[in-house]
Amino acid sequence: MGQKSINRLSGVAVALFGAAMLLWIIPAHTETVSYGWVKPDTLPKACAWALAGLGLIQALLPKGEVALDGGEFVIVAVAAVLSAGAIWALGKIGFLVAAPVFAALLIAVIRERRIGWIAATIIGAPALIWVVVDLLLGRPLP
Amino acid sequence: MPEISIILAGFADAFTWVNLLFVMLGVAAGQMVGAIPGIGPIMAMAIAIPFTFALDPLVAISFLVGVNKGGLFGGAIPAILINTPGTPDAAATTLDGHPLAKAGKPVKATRMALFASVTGDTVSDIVLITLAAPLAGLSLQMGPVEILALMIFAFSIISGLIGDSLIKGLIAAVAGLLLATVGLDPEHGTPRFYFGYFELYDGASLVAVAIGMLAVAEIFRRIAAARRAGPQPAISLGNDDPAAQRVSWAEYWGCRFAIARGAAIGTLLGAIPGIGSTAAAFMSYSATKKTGTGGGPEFGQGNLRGIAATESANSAVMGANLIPLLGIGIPGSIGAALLISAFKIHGIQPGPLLFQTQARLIYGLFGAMLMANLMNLLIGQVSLRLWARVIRAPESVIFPAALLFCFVGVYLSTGGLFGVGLMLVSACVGYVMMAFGYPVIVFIIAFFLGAGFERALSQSLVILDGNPLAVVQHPVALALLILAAVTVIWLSRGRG
Repeated sequence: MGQKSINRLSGVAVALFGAAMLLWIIPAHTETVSYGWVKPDTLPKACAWALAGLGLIQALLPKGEVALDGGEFVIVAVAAVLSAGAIWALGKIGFLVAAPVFAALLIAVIRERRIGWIAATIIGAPALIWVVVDLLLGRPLP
Repeated sequence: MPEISIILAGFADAFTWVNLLFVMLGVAAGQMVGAIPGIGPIMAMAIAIPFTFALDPLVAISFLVGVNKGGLFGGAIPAILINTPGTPDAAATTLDGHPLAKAGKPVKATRMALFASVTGDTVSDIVLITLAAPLAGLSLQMGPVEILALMIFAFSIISGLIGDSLIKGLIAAVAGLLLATVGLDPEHGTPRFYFGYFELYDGASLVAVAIGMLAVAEIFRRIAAARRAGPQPAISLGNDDPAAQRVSWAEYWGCRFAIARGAAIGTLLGAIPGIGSTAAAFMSYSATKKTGTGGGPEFGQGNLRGIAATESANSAVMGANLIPLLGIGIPGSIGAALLISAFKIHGIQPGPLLFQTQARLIYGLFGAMLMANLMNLLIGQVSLRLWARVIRAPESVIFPAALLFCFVGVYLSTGGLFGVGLMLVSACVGYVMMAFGYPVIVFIIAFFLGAGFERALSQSLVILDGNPLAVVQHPVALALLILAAVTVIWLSRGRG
């Protein structure tokens, strides 16, 4: 897919988001108030209209550079899913267990094979954070 | 203008041992991370901000300023040694820096970069110290209508100048404003868009959003890149010829006009929100190239003037970037936007009122900036060889550790895992925006200004009695709105 098509697609997505804000999200998540010049939904509605309009302009007159890379997108998605899992695990099993496992999984994604660097990341980084936050700053970790 | 006693007290605060220590640590950390391609001072600042909340506000902000300033020079080291700029600002430094290094003078090239960087930065800081207070005094004379018009003008400039498409810039600005409407609305106090999460009653956390979009999104990209790319071969600093190791006074003096021109261009462009240091560096390089080689090699083949011009310009942007932030409360760059997070963590609202409410802190910050320049020079001289080794630090260690620091930092500053989740969502949005070419920095600046924008809009409509056309009775506001319209039309012609 060429840059122009991707720009068109992103413009359509922005316009649809603006429309969704106007039709569903803003009515459902703002209170109706009958007084005052700037009501709770005034600025959100103005932004949504602007997004819908600008999105359409972008779809019709696509411009600008795009740096979309399919291979990178997949790895970023994996890292994001791992991060989401890590946030869940931090709340359930705590930093001292979840952080080394998370670091190990990221190391596996990067495909690091040098054992010294693997150990430094899995043990060293969480230990350093624990020392700085828990011992030096005196703040509890999750 | 604050009293002279407050100014002197502020400068005295900057020269305490603790403050000097943290400025030194900040500069050293900045030079180190600047030397590692892919990390850079911005990511380092984003990661460090939540950890600074335990420090005194001046110490914390001085440390972050040190990181930023150190990083400005640090980015030049890999640009010269491996032809890969450590920060985007140093891209122009590769043009003459790397050829000079390949010609057997890597130390001379990095030293000239250091001297030019420190000179440009110092000039810019002096302009900031001179101009910020009068500008703040002027902006305090403005009413809500003028402030609203000023924000619209700032949005038009920032949206048009950052990135390569005005429409994409405007979309990013509007999206940032929309995110700022999450939480209680300023006029009626009713909650909006909280989706059942009471943590969103106070709005989305600036720290979580900024770290997510600026640091975590970039870390994700770098993790993907680290999986595919191998390390670059670096040029060794070892050279026994003393003439190749140092920059003589004659060589420095020979570059004085290039440095002065770079400092002037960097300061001028830095004071305008949205124009980054990369543009300043290339503009300065281009201007210097037109003045001739000065008896040295051709430009692009290791001319010292080329290095001096780019480094003085990109470093001069840093101090000037704080002019709009401190003078009118509008951040002009990512670094300035991150400093806002640091101010907010310490309960300080950045803007022109700072010169009335926190004058001592501001002059302490100015003192710390000048000290950071001196530290940059000293640490750069001593640690050059060490940073040249740091270039080879494995990304497999750096990025997982940086991600853990982001998690913990946001957890500490937002007081729970909800903020960490928000950071992750922001990172995903930030990555998608970067991939599709939408400028993240415009989004963050608009998000930061959003609450003030809505307040100013509300107050303005009360003053104008609900009639926007009554703005004609406010000539300053009208002039700013016309300027905004002219800017959008002008930029849409040039950039689309």
